[in-house]
Amino acid sequence: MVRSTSIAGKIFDVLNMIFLVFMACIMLYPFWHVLVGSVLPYEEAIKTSFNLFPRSFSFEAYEYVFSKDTILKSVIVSVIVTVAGTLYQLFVTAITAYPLTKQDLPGRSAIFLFIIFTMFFGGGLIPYYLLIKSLGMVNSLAVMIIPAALSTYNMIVLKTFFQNIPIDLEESAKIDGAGYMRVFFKIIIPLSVPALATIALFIAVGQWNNWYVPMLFLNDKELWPLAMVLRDVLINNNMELTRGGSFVSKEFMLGDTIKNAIVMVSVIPIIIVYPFIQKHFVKGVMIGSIKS
Amino acid sequence: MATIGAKAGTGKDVGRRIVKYKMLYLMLLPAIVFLLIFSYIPMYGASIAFKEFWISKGILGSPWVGFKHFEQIFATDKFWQVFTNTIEINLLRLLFGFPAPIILAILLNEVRHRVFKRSIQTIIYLPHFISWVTISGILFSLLSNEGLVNSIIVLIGGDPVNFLTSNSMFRPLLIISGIWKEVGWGTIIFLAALSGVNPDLYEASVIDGANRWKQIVHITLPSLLPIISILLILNFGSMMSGGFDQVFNMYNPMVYESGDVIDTYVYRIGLTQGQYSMATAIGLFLNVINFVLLIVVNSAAKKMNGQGIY
Repeated sequence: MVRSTSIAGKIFDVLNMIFLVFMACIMLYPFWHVLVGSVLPYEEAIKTSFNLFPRSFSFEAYEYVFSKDTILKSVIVSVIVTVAGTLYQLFVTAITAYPLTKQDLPGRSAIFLFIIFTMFFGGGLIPYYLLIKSLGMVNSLAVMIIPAALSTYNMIVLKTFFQNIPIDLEESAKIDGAGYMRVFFKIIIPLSVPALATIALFIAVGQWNNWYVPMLFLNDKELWPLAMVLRDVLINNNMELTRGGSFVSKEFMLGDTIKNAIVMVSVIPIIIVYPFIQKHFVKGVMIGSIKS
Repeated sequence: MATIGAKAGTGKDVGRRIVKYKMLYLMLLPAIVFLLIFSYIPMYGASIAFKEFWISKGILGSPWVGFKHFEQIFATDKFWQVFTNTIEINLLRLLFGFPAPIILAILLNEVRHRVFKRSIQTIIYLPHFISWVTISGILFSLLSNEGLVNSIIVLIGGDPVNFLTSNSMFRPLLIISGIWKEVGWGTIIFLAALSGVNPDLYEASVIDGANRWKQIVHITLPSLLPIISILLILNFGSMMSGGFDQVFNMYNPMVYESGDVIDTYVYRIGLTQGQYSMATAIGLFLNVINFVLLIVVNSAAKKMNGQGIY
């Protein structure tokens, strides 16, 4: 791209880059704050709030977090809910999006309207709550997976993506005698990996971070995913899970360090996975936002 | 061809296509069943807004009371407080949160160093993926009395500020943390629009002696205008909703006066206090407003752009 390269232009470039680096630091600082806070030995943590670079490290908080059954169990629950929920929702979303790309499918627009209407209107929190209760899904992990079968927004993104796949590929497979199911699994799905990966990331992050559904429906702490444990510790300030009970115990002294360590455990998987999918999701968001 | 065929098709033709597409209907079946159960049944359940709901009697068995709950709600001061809070907070979000990603996208667009640009993008998208639970937790720690921010204030000779329990600080806190989380993500759509701008335009402007500022004002901004206007209109469509996750994880009873919004209010009176019919009535009122807003906003977008959002 050609840009003005006068002296003023060059000064602008430098200032702009400095500003953007500054912005990036603001975006990163809170994570750094938590990371440092999670490895800071207690003796140093109480001395000062300014700990840009710790002088000594201690992994005591992490050892503690991973020695706690409640937390380990919640990590396992989170992994299960994330993996199962993502595969399931991705599958239902994809098999819904594909038929809707067929312009001459009888009833297509009625079905489409039936689906997207739910995006714009709903019964509200209480009727939903009563429904889940009457289905007996309270205190069952199924409540975190089954009801979230379809994301309408993601479905529209996928549909748009499927529509851009050249129809010839499908036609030639049809001539070879393949049915729609076969075409879908053998041709459409393999060609849509970038879009599917993007949507899988969105669903997975949503599942991993989901504290709302467990807060509403999982009263049994044994079933809590990590996000809910995190909420209990961070927002409700409930240290019961992290503390042994005695106020003079080491756990009490480690309180904030442990909080930070739990935050890191919940954030690290996201930080690790998402840069890999970044180049795809920019495209995915574009399609989605242009369409909707 | 296909659509013309569909229009001119006889009943027999439609029948043939239904048979031809039977597998596709099978693929649509799960979504239809799930939406019927988890979206349409609750819509029916919203009828308890017009009933005196008793759990023992169920939705069907509870007696009708007409608009009683609505009259009761509209006579409550607390309702009008959360109503105005919701609108005011959303207007503030619009005023400060809307321009932020546009400015950031324009600045990013000026960067020519690809690796640098890419790295900045990777970093600023990150907060979008972090939940409000985590962000609030970090904020609480940064803004507590012994936290970093107050330590700095004390160091430069000020008095510690109770950020988290102050009604005058709560809204700025909502707006700023909201911008922090979403500004980077928000640039994507604007950068996408800018990637479609013809580079010749910039080249020609350089020959004409335009400086950076003139390029931004005369080329970059005008190419963003269509998408800006659409997004602005859409924003008005969600004036009454949004922000539950953020407010719910950040607020406390001390800041209800400035920060309690309709969604959090519905949650409290419905699930904490168990006033099911009342909470459903407020929820329904909110949903109807949102739906009407959406239709108005969509027809406005259609007029401006020749294309709506659905």
